[in-house]
Amino acid sequence: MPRAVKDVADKRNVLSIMIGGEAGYGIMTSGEILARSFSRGGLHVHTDVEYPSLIRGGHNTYQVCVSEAEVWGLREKVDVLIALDDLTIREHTRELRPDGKVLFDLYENPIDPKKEFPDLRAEVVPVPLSQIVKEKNGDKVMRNTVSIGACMALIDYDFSFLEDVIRSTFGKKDVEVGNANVDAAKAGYDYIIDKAKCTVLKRVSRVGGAPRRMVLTGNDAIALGALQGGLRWYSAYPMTPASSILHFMAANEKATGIVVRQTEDEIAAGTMAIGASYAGARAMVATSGGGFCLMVEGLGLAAMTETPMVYVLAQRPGPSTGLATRHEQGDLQFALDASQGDFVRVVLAPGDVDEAFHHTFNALNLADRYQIPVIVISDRYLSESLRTTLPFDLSGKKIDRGKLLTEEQLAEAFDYKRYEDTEDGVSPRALPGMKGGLFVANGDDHYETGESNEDPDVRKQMMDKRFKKLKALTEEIPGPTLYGPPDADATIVTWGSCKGPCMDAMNILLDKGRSVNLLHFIYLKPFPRKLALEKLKKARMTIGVESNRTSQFDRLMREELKVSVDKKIRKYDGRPYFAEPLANEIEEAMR
Amino acid sequence: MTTPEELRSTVIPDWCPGCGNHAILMSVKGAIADLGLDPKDVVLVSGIGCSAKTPHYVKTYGFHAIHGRALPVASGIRLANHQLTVIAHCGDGDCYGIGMEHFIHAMRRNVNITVLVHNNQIYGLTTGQTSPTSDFGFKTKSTPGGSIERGVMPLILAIGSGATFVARGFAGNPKHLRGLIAEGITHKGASLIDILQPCVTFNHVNTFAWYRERVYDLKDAGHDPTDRARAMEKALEWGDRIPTGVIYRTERPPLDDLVPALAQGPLVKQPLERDIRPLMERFY
Ligand SMILES: Cc1ncc(C[n+]2csc(CCOP(=O)(O)OP(=O)(O)O)c2C)c(N)n1
Ligand code: SF4
Ligand SMILES: [Mg+2]
Repeated sequence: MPRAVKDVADKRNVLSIMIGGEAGYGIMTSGEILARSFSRGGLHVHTDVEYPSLIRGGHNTYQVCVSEAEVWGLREKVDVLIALDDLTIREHTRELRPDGKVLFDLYENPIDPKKEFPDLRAEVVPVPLSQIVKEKNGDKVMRNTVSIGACMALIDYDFSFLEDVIRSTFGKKDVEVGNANVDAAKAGYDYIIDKAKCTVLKRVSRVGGAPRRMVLTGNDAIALGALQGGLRWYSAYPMTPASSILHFMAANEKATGIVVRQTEDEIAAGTMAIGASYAGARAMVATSGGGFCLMVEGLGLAAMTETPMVYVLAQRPGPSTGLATRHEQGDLQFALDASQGDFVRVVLAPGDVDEAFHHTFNALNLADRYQIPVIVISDRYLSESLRTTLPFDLSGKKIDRGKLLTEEQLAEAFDYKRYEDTEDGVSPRALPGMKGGLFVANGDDHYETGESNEDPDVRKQMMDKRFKKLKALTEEIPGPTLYGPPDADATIVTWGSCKGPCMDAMNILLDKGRSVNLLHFIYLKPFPRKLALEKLKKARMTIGVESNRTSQFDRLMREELKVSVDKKIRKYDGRPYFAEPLANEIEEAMR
Repeated sequence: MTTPEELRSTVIPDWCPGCGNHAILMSVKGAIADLGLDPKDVVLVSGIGCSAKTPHYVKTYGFHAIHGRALPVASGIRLANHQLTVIAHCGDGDCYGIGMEHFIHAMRRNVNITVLVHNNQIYGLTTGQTSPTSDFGFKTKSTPGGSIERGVMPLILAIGSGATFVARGFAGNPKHLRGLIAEGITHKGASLIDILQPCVTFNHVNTFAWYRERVYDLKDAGHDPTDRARAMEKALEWGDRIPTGVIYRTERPPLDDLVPALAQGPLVKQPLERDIRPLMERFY
């Protein structure tokens, strides 16, 4: 029986576990199982996956950060490394804390770790993964199941949660498979308890009486938000990191009664959705930067025909194919202005899964209410990392279709004009099939009836009509949210998915006694000028944090507010921010 | 009952006098009237080009979209409300050039829409450049020395793509065309009607007279459109003799019948509110 030592890493007590190996080893499934096991024990979890653009043979890792307190993002340092191959140790020695542990099958790979990895300070805990699997007559891929069982013993966490999750993961389709995996995990667990000569890394314990929390990705939350928002149509062309929305929608096509189409390309995905929306179905598409490029002509069509549309832009590093499976926030300026000509749009970027749910829901309402395209920006990090969150609050979620007419209202309308120049710029909308509403939705500029018209006065009038929507829209756009102490020496200013790492960094700095708070923007266009200025006025020093090369959000601020942040922190190495180095950089910037 | 006259919109066609599009307009209105369709249940969808103006001239619903994208827009409309009759008006550049991928996939997908290609073998709206269906050697503003590429053969391409209704009409024979369009609308699945449409302003080779000399009616020739091998032969016939009429027809369930959500009726008529809690349940 190993000796238990209470261990403290930083004041937030985050335990960071990484499982790594060759792609195809079931790394992702194992990581998710770990995450859910912790969540069921009342703990907070944030995960991320790293994988190259390969299906087999590449090096994959899955990191799970877990804590009794809320954890917003990733830690750079790793406490427990589950190495399914020696490459994992080689690649991640740098991240391993000196007092960390490496779970490794030294029996299968009889190497001398001291010699092979001279920089390795962490303790190597040998576990005969392959032999245990053999004894259980299991498939080689079950090594990861054994390893996560062993991990649970190593951190002294209740096996019952792992058992539960394994059963609900594998056992749904086949009880036998579920049992076999529980057995394998238990064997790993028991091996550590009974045979291993190592200390236990006890940092987190189950939290009794904690509320039930979901564990899901940003993409899951986007999909759920859209479905809650009455989505009826989803079309897409596969592209990482947006693809899992397509998979989710397709898997639930029957259960939800939506139409899901994989089209020949993103041009078709976008324009088919426009057709569906014109006919009256709430429609959404999702893609990454390259696919969004192909959708942009259609974006203008949606704007000109005043057809409600929601575009999810899950960013990855560009240009071109860039780093296909990596992270960046490099498409902000593109999303803000991608167009032929000028039109009103909403651009918003949720910061976490909860915001992804609520603001995707809102995106569908905004699209309908203002009859405009709405762009929801995500990125590889938000789209694919799992996070624990309370069940989404569904109260007060009202679907608002704006000025969509009923057939009865249409019957009473005198001389119906689809593009009527109204006071707020939004025109009553009829749908094909309705009596009395005949009109042509027109991508050429047009008069109120929809008839093409090139008269200079009409052009100006109709441009102004469409832009009138900005007034009410700007009034209802939420401003940025301030986190941390209301008054601080330095204010971190960020947008979208950088929220998580910035929250962690802020908390680390606050623990150290630094005076810092955080201003986070979700709504970016129209820019919430007044509300932003109100908050920024109080900031003594601003530090911008974003994941791109050219400080794209800062460019937006300069354009909208004529101010720039005082210090800029940027990251564009294809990886998300980690809490500790970001905290260091912020601290440095505060000097 | 709707008459072609009642289908006339208040917008006056601005096509060149003598343009083949006038006859296509007449024929499509005729077909809608012949089938007794209620104008509120008809949507004409177009891309960009001279052809694309058609929806403005017919008193039904319409969607004048962007160049090349009439077919995905039309497919989206039809799948969102399969009680609508959806007719797409495309140009040859629109459908076989910039929108070619949608053409192939619309045929394979077999969504229940009717595709009318106003094929004038030229880019009309952009004042006369070569088109994907221009013949080898054809001189235009962009091919002053004569085109050195051969034209695509849309009908064989359609059959190869899995089309279930493939026909060719001629703007010089509107009565025949009207019948073909009606047949295409009635057909269950995607139907393609490639229409020889003389552009009197920019195409001085493929004129009414040029086509008239060459076209013949497949019906008169005793062609059996259900015979795929014969249909493919006819689809390849182009030159001194040009077949018109239904070239190929087969039965295959349209996509509308296969999309699960549509079994409960049109998508747009289904309630918006749904309980997502069962979906949330799997994330614990
Ligand atoms: C993306 C894009 N590229 C180019 C154009 C310019 N354009 C408009 S119509 C057209 C070609 C028209 O030819 P066709 O489709 O044969 O239609 P027609 O005018 O002959 O009926 C072109 C190139 C455009 N509107 N959009
Ligand atoms: S340019 Fe040609 S196709 Fe266009 S309207 Fe004139 S004749 Fe018809
Ligand atoms: Mg043409």
